[in-house]
Amino acid sequence: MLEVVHGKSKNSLAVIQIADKLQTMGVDGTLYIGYPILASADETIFIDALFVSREHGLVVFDISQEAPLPGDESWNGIRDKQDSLFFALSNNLGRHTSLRAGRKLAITPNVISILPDIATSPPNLGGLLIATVDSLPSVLSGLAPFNQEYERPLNAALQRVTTLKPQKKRSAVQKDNSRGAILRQIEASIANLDHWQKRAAIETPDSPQRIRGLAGSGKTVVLAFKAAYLHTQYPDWKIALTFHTQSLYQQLTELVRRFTYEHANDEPDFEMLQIMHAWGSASKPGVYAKIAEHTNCTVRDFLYAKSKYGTKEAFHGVCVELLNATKDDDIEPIWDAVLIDEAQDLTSPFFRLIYRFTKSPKRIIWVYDELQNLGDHIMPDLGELFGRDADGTELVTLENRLGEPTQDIVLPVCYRNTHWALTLAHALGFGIYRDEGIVQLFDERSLWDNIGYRIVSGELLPGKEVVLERKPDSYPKYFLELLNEEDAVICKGFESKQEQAQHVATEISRNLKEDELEPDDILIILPNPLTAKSEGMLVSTALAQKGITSHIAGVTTSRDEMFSAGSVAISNIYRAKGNEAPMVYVLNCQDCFGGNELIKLRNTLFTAITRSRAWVRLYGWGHEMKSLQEEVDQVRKSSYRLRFRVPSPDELDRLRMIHRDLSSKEKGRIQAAKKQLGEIVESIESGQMMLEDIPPELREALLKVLNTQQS
Amino acid sequence: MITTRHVRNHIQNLIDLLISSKIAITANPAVIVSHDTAMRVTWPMKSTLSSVLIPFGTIKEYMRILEARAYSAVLFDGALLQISYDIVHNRIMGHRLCYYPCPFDIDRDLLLEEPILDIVEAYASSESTDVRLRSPIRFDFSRREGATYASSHVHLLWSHCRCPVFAPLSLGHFVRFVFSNFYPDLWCRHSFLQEWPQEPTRRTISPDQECSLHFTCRDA
Repeated sequence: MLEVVHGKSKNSLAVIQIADKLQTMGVDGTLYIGYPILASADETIFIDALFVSREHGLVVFDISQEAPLPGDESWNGIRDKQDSLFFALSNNLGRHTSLRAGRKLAITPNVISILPDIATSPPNLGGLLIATVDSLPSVLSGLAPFNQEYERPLNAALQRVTTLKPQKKRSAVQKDNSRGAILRQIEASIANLDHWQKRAAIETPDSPQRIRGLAGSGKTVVLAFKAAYLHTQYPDWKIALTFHTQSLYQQLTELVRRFTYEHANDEPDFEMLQIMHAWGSASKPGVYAKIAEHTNCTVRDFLYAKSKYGTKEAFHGVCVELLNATKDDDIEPIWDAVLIDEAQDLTSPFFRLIYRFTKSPKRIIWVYDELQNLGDHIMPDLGELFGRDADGTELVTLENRLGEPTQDIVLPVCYRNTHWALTLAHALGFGIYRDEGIVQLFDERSLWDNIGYRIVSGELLPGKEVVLERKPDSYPKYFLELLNEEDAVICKGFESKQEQAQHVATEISRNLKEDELEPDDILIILPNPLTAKSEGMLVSTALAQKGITSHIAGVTTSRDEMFSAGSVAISNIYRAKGNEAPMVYVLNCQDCFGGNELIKLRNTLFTAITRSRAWVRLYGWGHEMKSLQEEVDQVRKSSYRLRFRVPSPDELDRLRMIHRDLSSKEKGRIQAAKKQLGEIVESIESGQMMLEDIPPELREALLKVLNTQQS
Repeated sequence: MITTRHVRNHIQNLIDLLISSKIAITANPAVIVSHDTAMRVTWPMKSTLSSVLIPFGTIKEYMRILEARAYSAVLFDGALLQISYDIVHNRIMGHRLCYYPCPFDIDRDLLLEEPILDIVEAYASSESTDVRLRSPIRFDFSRREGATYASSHVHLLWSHCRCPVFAPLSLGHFVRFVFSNFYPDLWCRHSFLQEWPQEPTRRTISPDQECSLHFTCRDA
């Protein structure tokens, strides 16, 4: 099957004809339109299309608008262009040792010039390949296939992903089947972008684009790739790449720099490609601050916002303020394209600001995973997110059209987590096996399929029972070969947090001494950010008693590096976001079991579990941990399948309302009511108060409310 | 007998209690390192504090200490405690006992939830009126040949200010001084603070130094 990836080409019409021709030929392979960009010593070379197929090898298509005449000098021009493309691609690939055979390149690129017609034969210019769209099959049939052992390294090189994974040496690994040895095998596998990642990274429509993906599906890498690709292709565009978590800045900058080098062999121009936090800080500019400055509005800082709107609503408040302050002005937009990572954590007024200050055709690309939302805003629908016009029509709509760059992409393959860990994360995140019922669920039922689940039985319809499981192609095969479900996920309860800390220290000591893991392979996550600083100390002390060095990341500043060689990282959930480690210990899981704001608590658990690249340990203490363990047991007993009754849209709305985030006022009110109710029950039970002391109408009203809610 | 291990355990116990009682939001473990001829019980030194370059009692110095994690504990209001002793042959030969109040009145929930330095930077860069003019109080003990000041002294307001102190201080002296004076509510509420022993130390103040105003106390 032919896969067409729609990058940008100035000869897009002719390239589409080539794509159609290849489709009719029934060839297998990938046709990259307008990709890759190659850098020679003195220029950036744009390719019309590149075709990679086992059958026909590696082929560059170069489109000529006019057919040369006999004896015409322009034949030399075609020849020169082919040579230039050949050497640029060869040099690019030759940098990769995995693509060399001795002193030669293992795969020889072919360059075919596509002409409108070939009225006359070209002069004898040895090796020149020319074709019209119609004669393409016969020219391609003369090309040799490449050795399949080079396919993965070739794709990795073309997709610029060869340098993405820092390879650990793991020279201390002695045993064949230790955890360290398993990681060595996992890390040695060559990454290739999958079908969806290729589209998400290379295709940019002349319109907004939404990319949704699971944790570990490569969202951030894809976005950084896209930013670098757009920047290389359109160096005069003002592009903003923005994000929510401060600590992402370093990671995104490094990725963009690496990809820009791969594309253009040059540093990015950070004046044009601006990597900025959504808000900004004292030392770093932000998207909000840029817009405020651009519109001569006062840039509101955090303290202003906090005192005016409260900590939780601070960013929302300043965005609304700026939106209102600029709504009647006809102000020049700022950016040609804006790319937004972690969109689930950003508020809709921010999106509306972006919409207002991005030039037409509004190339706004936003990436998110709904379940990683740790903030106070549920991802709204498109109308709510970007707004509507005077007629009530949504400003942004998304539609995937055949033969055009995709507008709405879901990345379904999770490369980071085992399918056991991911299913568990979804089960706990949604509360699938929770006694009191589901906590939340996707509104869009088709998303289950998009994110890599298949129906085992039942139907995904409101009111119906359904059983889902991960599709076999939604995770890398090596998880099944190298890991097992009993060890991939372990859940354990303790009597006290001290006992929990001692057990973690013992386990980590074993990880380091017997399992051949390195300290920076291990991440300890503390879900409650309010207690993480002090709880981290307890764990750190327990580790120190066993001679294990550890550090609490993000206590002092978000600029802290998460991992440090020779030291086990301890982190709160916010700092852990965007990071991953082979062995993850999630402590104090009982904090996420129940209570108010359950959606946020369950999302915290989801985010924590999905930091694990191989093994995850869920620890906690007290009776709530026992209940959480029962939920985990249910997932195991169901063979890592999700069995539930699909709630109706009304039920989903109600769940959202029950488990919503609360303002401090609401929290106070609920706490007070709980306390009073508790006191009443206690007083009646102890005989200090008679039921009859409560006025009959109040008793009746209470009974009525309770009965309605229970039914 | 004062052993290095005894001092280390003593400090660690205090830190653990401060954490478990939620008086401190974070802390560093007490560690033992060799320092010249002494064994020093201190916080883990990650980078050298260039106190020469940064003026004493400034927001910049406070932030630099945070950045270098050069503290024993950070209290719930952002105040820092630095506790360090130099021991030679089972005797205290030096100490640094510093109470460094936070220069801002910071939202307590924010301090718990967010990285501390990020918050302080936000306060420092805003036109906040929450800034508080409070001097660090640092009890130092060091014997210097030819020094004209008391070997045990306290720095207040300026680094060159060295008010004489009667003797090197035990941890109990420092705990009592800080919590009974600056956190009277906590002092009343937590018996471990009140009961922390003020261990007697050898008087080092000279008769001349005793003639001017100085810090002193009797053994309990």
